[in-house]
Amino acid sequence: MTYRDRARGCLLGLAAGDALGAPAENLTPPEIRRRWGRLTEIEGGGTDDTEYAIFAASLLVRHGHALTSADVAHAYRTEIIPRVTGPMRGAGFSELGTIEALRRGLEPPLTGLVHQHGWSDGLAMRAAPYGVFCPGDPAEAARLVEEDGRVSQSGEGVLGGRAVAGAVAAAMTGAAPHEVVAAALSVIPADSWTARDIVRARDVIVASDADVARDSAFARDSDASSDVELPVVEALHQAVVVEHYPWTDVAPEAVALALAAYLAGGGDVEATVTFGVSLGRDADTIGAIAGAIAGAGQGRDGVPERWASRIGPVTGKCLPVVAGRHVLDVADELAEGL
Amino acid sequence: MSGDRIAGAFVGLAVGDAVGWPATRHRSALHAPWSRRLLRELDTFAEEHRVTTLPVPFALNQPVAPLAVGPSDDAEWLAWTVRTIDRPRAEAFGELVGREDIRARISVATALGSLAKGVEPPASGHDNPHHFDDAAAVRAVAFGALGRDPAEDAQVTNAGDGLLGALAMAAAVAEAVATGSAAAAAGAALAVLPPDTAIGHNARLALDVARKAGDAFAAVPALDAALLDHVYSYGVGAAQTVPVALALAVAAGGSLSAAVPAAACLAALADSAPALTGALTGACGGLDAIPEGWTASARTLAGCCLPELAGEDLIELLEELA
Repeated sequence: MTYRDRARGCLLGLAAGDALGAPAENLTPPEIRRRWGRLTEIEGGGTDDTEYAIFAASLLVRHGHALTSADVAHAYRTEIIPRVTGPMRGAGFSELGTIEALRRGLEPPLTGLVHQHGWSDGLAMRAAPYGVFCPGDPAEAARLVEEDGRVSQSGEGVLGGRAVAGAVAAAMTGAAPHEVVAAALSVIPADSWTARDIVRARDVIVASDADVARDSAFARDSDASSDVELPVVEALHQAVVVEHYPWTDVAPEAVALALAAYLAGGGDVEATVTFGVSLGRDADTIGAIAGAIAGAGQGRDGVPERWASRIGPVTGKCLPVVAGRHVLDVADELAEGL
Repeated sequence: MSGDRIAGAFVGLAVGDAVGWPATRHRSALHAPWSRRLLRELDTFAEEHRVTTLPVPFALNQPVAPLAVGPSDDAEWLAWTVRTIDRPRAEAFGELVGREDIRARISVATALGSLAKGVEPPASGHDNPHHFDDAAAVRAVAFGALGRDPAEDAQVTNAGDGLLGALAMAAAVAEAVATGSAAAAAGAALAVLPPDTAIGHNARLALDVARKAGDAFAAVPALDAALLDHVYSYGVGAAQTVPVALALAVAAGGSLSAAVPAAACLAALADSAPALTGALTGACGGLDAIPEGWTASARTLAGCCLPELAGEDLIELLEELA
């Protein structure tokens, strides 16, 4: 399989996971089951995850391995901020906080430090292109994504991006799921919240029946799939969800749940993504991360055709600068020269 | 004098805790839950009817005493810290695990949840979405006033800027107790705040803009513009509240009566910046410099966060300690 094929699978998987998970964001797993049973069909368009990933890819295409935080800050100032004239649609707190810090004249890494949403999954959601750009080199993917991350994140938010970029870099070589998760862990400190959450979530999947998501993804009887999955879903929430916090976009949690879904799905795109979004919480970002990793491993044809056909050019509703771009074209640009 | 300044730090914190508008909301936790539900409904009513008569906590068939001026969350957590200060910190917090009758910041609630799952410090403070808040900075007032190291305590609930905020508050309060100088206290705080952290950057920026403004009240708009992005409801971020406390204490020349009301004017930080400001300036001027009426109103705890502290007298608690 070519890098181009894997790049296409990665970004198509990201866009599909984003779109599939969007209506499930912030719902509880029982509520998701009540509404859809297993959520398997894309209802609408993608969200910020896809558009920010396209923006990150455009930075890589322009600057390559020489990309610096200053380049990224410059791109925010010239391509994003001038178009934010009123509301910043689709922006999470970390994005708007970063914009305000840049407007105030701060430079990275202070731009990612002063707004206190440094731990958000805003970098993790757009980290996949860095892995695509560095196939087989998780350390370089992690180094590059940190250049981007220092503009908008700090601490665990940067680590979440490193973990996802590292995982995708490994998946780009066709590595087995457990090797991909090991690659994610290899580029972050063991003594970190992100590493602890990934290990806890991985342990839940290892302790459960193998391929739990894969088995139930293809079960026609949704009650039967619930029986298999419910205890695993509950155990994953118990392992990584912060109980007394009103927001779900915490990077350690989202990254750990996405990697757990990837393990549970045995690397299969549909099983991975449908299980990922069934977890609720930041479901679109979990779906996007899980879809990107699985898509890199399976390539373009690993993404179900009925999902691929729903993915069109992005509208630019979150980032007007990327309006009209299609993830497949972006993937081809990234893969050029690999 | 240093005994007076130690008491000044504690009562000053309680006074600052009492002045901000959030104090009444915390204290209304003593009312029946439906009373606060009615408040939320009034808020919705104001929104729907476009009336600008904003609801404030009220007492329908409830005792009115909680709504009088008085201390709330920060004074209680400070008193709890004093009571338990000789105990290993993880053990002291461990006794709070599982209690459903207490109220605490998100950092503390998350840390207690982690302790319950067997996650020990420092991970309990680090693997925490609000690791940067000032819960430990408030408790550090006790450690600083009594000349002790706040780090072990702080790490149970906080990390990063939250831990640095505690180190800075303890250093500043210790210096204020020793010398009475707000400028020296701010210097001691800066010495433990690296400039490449948000809290270190903000502390230097806050001191700079407040100095240029001339006095504490004059500094309020400049501090708002310099430190607050108003992107999210982080009223208790140590990287904002501790720098504001340092800057206002210095701008007011250590005067509690000048610094604390100014801190309460920063609406977004009115929950805890006045309390930290009160602790610093209370330590600078000592208990005798705090207006008598304020000491009388602030010294008795309400029990709105830790019910066992209802009726506890802060000054008597300190006398027991001595």
